[in-house]
Amino acid sequence: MNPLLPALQGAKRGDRHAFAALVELLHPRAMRYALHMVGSNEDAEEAVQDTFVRVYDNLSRFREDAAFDPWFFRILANRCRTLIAKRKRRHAVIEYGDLPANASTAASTSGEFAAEIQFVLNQLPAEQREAFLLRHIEDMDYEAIAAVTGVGLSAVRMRVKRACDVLRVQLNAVYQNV
Amino acid sequence: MHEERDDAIERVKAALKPLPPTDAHAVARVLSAVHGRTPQPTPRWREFLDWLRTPSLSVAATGGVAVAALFVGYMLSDTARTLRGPNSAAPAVAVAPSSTEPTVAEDSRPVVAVSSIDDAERAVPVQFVLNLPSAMSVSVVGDFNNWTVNQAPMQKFAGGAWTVTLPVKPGRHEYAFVVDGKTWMADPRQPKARDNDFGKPGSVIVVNTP
Repeated sequence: MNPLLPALQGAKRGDRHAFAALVELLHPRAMRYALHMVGSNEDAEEAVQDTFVRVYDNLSRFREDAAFDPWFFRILANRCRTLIAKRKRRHAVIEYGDLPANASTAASTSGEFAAEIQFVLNQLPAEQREAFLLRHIEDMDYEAIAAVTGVGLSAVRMRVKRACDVLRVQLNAVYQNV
Repeated sequence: MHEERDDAIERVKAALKPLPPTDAHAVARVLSAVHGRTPQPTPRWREFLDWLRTPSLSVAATGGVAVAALFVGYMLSDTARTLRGPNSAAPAVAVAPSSTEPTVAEDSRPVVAVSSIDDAERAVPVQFVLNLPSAMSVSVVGDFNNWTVNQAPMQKFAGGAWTVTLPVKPGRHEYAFVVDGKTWMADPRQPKARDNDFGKPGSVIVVNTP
């Protein structure tokens, strides 16, 4: 049985306590995905909060016998993409304007392995990062990822494969430099 | 070589998979963000379909007539509820739509008639218009009617203009037209919905408060 089902059913009936339980159950997973996608805690929290507001507003449109993860992650992935686009615009302003004096490009010198991986992950195109996270971190099958991303199965497989290829090469380089 | 590749990805997964601790403050901020919002109620027809999917279907099979009667009752009450709007006791209709010809504004934007009563929560009649002579049927779906297909059928007038007037609360709303019961299309004269999480085309209207 889907552990989310009681909370989902209650939330669909308008039970605010059930919705609160749903948020508590899903929040860590949502934050994990959003953090890996957008790379900053502030943006991740914004994406997650926006996602839950949309879930709250539209829960009646979700069928209880359908898979919840693709529906939820589709909304979350959309919010993350929007924030990534916003961030690109912000970065463009910094590039031509007020670059901080202490700005550093040496993020890869961090000794933290997770930070190294996050750094490499951030170098991937967003659609590859998204496919990799959904497949290998959220453990979704390719059909569910296709439903989340709105692209075909072959494109999803290709994105995951390319992400894995890049990660292997980049991480091998990191190991050699350690 | 193959094992080495798998090992690299496994190390990545091991590093990225741990869940962040539950941030009670962040959860509280989420709940605060939805506080005061009104979720879209579950449409009656969907409740009915959900019920049909339950193991009690055999009961439904033996009581088909009764079930059908219940369904019709649900649909009628739901439709009436939506068309009346949440404040049906005090309808806020300021401009009655014509019963013979659609009132099509020059730019064909939905005509927003406002109430003389200063109540931001009160639904006001909004006229939707679509010029599509080739269509056999058109209905409006939106967040204001729970995206229920066929709940707001439009009426066809001479020249191929389809129109319907619905009660809509002030605020920003997303909607779409459903043509011939299956094809969703955005309103060609209105801004497109920028973030469509549900894979359907849609448009945006902003209904102003009186």
